[in-house]
Amino acid sequence: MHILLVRHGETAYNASGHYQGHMQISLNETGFAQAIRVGERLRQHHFAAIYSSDLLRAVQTATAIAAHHHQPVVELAGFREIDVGLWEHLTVAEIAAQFPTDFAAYRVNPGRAIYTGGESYAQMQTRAMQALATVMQRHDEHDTICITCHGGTIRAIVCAVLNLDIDNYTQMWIDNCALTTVIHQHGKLRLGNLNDNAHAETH
Amino acid sequence: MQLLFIRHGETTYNAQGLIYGHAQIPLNERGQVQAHRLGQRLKHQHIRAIYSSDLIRAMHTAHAIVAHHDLQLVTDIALRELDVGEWEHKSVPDVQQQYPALYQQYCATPGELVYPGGESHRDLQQRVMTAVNRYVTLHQKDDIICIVCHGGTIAAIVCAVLGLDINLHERIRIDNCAITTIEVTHDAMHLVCLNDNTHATS
Repeated sequence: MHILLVRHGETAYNASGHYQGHMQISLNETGFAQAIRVGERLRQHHFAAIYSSDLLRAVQTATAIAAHHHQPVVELAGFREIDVGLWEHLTVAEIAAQFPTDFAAYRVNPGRAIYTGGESYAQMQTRAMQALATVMQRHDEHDTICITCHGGTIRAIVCAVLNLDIDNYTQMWIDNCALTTVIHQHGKLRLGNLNDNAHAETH
Repeated sequence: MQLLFIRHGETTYNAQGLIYGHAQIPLNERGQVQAHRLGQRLKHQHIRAIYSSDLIRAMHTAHAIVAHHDLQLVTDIALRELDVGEWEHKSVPDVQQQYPALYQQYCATPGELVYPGGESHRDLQQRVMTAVNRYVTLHQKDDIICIVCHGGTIAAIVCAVLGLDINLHERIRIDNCAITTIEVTHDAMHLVCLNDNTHATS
């Protein structure tokens, strides 16, 4: 089985560097253009199903992909971004100033520290992997499925696939609307690619 | 600084699934097409320098990039694939039959097994990271550097960058002529793209 993980398109908060977590924030103009491009890139694929985090930015991105496939978007809350709690609406500098102790703990253990009033990457990873196991049960080895979700969620899933310590999620980057592929073959998970954003190249 | 790691194009040994490390196997017809497409993909990139393993499959792939740029190809023995020693030219079933104990050890700890007469993936990782760290010191922060090498070599580098146990290197897939990008900032390295092979189909 090929599991195609797509990060949502850009939002105003991505552009300004504010944390958004579970906020319902729409794609901005750039984000809609990115979603259309990734939809065009994936139009030749045959998806057994298209899943999405139920947050607006992910659903909007999934809708641009599904438009070429005459398929519904199946929303699952398990694929949501990390719940950033009280860090919502804030920039990194504001978080460091307002929550110095929790932010210092985050810098030491970015995978295990709990965002003030929210969850940790490790907790988010557990629920995302539960959601992934649930959808994988519905499909067989030859299927390709598409899941639109979030930069944090995708990196947490990749850590689980590689058996990489969740504190090391910061060692990788996922761009808006970039593709990451997990391959499930002979009962084993492998990373097929990460952050393939070739459709964003202009020349 | 961006380091673009590129695996060589396909060879007959890749197509047949034979084990090889330092053996001199040229690209097959398909591998040459892959290399050509790779060259087209990268022709608008402002590449500052290009390094290649001195094995012929890597050098041929590097030439397809150099063809579009005014660059001197620098070959480096340190970028070679794993030295697979006595397992050179063998199939996996051959190895299973002739080296049953060692093959079991490989399956248990694929990063640590020293191939008979060769080296381990951990040894490989050490020699290749020494070379990569040296290239970083030779270039400026906005430079794009191409490094043409091998599947085992790139997987070992990705393990080092992520902090992933080298025994898990098989969880990372690297296709022929795919591009893997590492970004270097203030002495830190991040994986920003793994196994981008878009040019294989377009």
